Amino acid sequence: MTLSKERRCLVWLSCAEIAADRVQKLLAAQGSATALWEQFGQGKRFSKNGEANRILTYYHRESVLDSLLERMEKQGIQLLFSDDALYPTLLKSIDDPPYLLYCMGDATVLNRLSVAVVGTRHPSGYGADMAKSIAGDLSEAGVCIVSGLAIGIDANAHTGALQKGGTTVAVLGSGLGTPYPPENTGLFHEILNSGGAVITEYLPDARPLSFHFPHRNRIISGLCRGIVFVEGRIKSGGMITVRTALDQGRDVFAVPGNIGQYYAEGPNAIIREGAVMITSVDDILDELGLKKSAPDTVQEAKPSDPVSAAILRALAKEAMGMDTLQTETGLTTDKLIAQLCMLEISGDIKRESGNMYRLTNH
Amino acid sequence: MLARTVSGGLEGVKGFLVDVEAFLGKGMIGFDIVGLPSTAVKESRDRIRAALLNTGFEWPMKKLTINLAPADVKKEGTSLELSIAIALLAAQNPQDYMELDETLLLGELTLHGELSPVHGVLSMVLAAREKGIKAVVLPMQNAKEVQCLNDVTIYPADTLKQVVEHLTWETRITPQAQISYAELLEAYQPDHDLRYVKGQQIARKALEIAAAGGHNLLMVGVPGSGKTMLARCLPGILPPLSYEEALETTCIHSAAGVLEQETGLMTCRPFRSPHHNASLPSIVGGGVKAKPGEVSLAHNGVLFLDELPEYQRQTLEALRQPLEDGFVNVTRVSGQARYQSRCMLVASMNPCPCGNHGSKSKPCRCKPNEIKRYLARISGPLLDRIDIQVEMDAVEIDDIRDQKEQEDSASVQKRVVAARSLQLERYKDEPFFCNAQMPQEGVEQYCIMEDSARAMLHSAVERFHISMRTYSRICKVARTVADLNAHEMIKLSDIAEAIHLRNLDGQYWR
Repeated sequence: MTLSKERRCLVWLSCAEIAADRVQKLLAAQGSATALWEQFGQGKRFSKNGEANRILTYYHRESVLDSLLERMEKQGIQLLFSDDALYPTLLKSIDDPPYLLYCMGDATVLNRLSVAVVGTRHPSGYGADMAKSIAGDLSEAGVCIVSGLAIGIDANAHTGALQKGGTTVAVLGSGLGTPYPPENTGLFHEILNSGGAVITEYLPDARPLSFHFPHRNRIISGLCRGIVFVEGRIKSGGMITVRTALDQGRDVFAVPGNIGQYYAEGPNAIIREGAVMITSVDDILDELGLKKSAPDTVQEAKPSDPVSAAILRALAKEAMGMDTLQTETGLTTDKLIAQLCMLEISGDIKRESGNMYRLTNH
Repeated sequence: MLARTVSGGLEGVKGFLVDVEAFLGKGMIGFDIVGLPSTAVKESRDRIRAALLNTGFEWPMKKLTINLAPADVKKEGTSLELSIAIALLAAQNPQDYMELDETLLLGELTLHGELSPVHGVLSMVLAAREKGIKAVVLPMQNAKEVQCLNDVTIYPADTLKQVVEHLTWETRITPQAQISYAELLEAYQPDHDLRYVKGQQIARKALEIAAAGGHNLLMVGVPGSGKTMLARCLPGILPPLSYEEALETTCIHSAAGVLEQETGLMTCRPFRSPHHNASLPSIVGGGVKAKPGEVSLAHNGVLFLDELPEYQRQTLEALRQPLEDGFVNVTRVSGQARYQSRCMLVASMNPCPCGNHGSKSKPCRCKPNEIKRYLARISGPLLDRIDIQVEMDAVEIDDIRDQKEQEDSASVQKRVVAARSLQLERYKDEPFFCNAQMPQEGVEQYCIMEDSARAMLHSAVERFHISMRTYSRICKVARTVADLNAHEMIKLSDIAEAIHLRNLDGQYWR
């Protein structure tokens, strides 16, 4: 990879994982990254952080930098500098845009109209399903889905988009060579194979340090026109993304949940503060000024026998357990169990942990 | 100066007869016991001497030799003391003592000359009955254990003096009144009743099916959802202990010394719940004397393992063979014993290390890999032996506060007994007797389904990615459900119920 001197110096700077706004200040003060490189060579230090200085010293050699760039080229990692044409335009407008993005996959998708779907790593079955279906529906409307590749809502959002043949972008808090979490390595490759992209501001072998993730969240919201917060507590990563989105002037959507359920705390709180509550994906498309997809006129043929219908009617109110279902439908335990099993096999309902039964929204 | 009495010893849980011979000869004054006595038996010399003196007998100033035949089997325990004392007395006045050959003498002596209870009485009396012995003298506290045995007369005694007077026909001891087993069984009341278990419809159903087919059961649920309470109800809904089963189980408990003297013969199925730090030998059997373990003590009953993942892995793995075969061979340097261990395994566990996974109100803070590690502590082969795996309902206090009366154990037991008798009839020519023990060939032969049921099972296999092994497990459980509903062939609703109680493989263990 042949790069200009200035760009090489920016790669060198990014090795130290110094916050983007601090680097911007340094660049403004010293004029250019090349000037920083020169001054570092003369013994000037920009950071009080010993670890950062150690890393900067290590990479302050042309040969080391060369081998790093060569390695990245072999791995198929592209570098996106903030003055590149492929660098996402929306991201440029935020307060502290990353001066350098490492990218795998198709970098052009970063400039597409995107919406982020974020939330907790431990969703309820409902939350997981909502993330999947919202991501899927948005994909069908041509929106690119951005999320963080974490387990839970993030993974469901990516999967939902992929299942509907959409494109999706994952923003990592670790290096591209060591995608975190390892459980989602399969998903990582799926995203790349489906024409999506995975980006990060960290070196390929950077570890997933805890402070990376809040920083990473500003990129998620920065890439998008709006973000959808599915489930999460008041104090959660999802809420950080919501804050950054608000700072960046993005639209914030929230999936409402039941009061008192801990995973609905976050979305409900931001709805109270003025986020757009969504009841269907059309709410998002409306807000973004996109055309509504033609309404589905084909209704699924519902089971005709009265027992199943009674169960489905009861479950339409809310997810419930055996005892409540029994009071609602008045069936005997044996009959109810048999009927529930048939409905589960036909895919109309789903059993969740704690033996709660829930309608599937298919 | 010779006399012979009959007593008993224990080898594992089996009793055997010991001939106790006494010889009073000339020579250096002394008291020797030969015939492979253990330390406890050797120590009894001092007790016997004190007991005889304190009862008012003279100690013979001769060379006393006691022989315990068969001489090549180690004699453990203190059950021989009474017979040694009587043999010594009879050797001095042989003409006074009658029917010594036909009376089994069991009991430990105190220095005061009283009789103390001993372990394994039932096994020894059964062994004596086989050899044609008709009368047994034993300590009062052991009498209840043998109260149902017919064709043996039981003479319970409190002191050595009573026994001597009985054997010399001065004052006979009143023989113990015999109680029929049926009478004893009627008096039995289970400690825990299903009536008091609120909610948990699915788990209740699972418990009933497990009891009806003898299936092993795993309950997964948040803490406080009633897993332990349900498990404790199981002895009350299993079919009543038959007389033969009661004898088997009581023998094991008596030999292990855990039998309660107040209850005597066991009428209630054992419910053993060893703590999870239990060692391997204490669960499967072993120790220096090759004693029976918890799995044998649970024979004909329930072995309940609470917090299954907390048990040592090797302990759980060691349970596989006894659960499969119904017996366990314990081999030690000091001897070898085979203990029966046909019990139902009931296990419970939390869904994750913090226990809140799936709870409505409390967040689960476990990382997915922590949950994975927690669940992985239970091996696949062990899970394969658990036919029914059920998740508990997430019950909240509000859900159950005002609920109608629940069905009680007695009415559930009636259905279970009916289902079991169907199975006994069906498998009368087979080496197994309940659905859970059915081998693979049996599944094809006995689990005949209606077409609609088979179609449903097949679509479930596709939808839930059910493995072949799980498939036959579902078939067995469906057979039991059909038995409970008195269906000749497995119907659609039966198979649906069985699938619903399918293992949680899909949800937890992938």
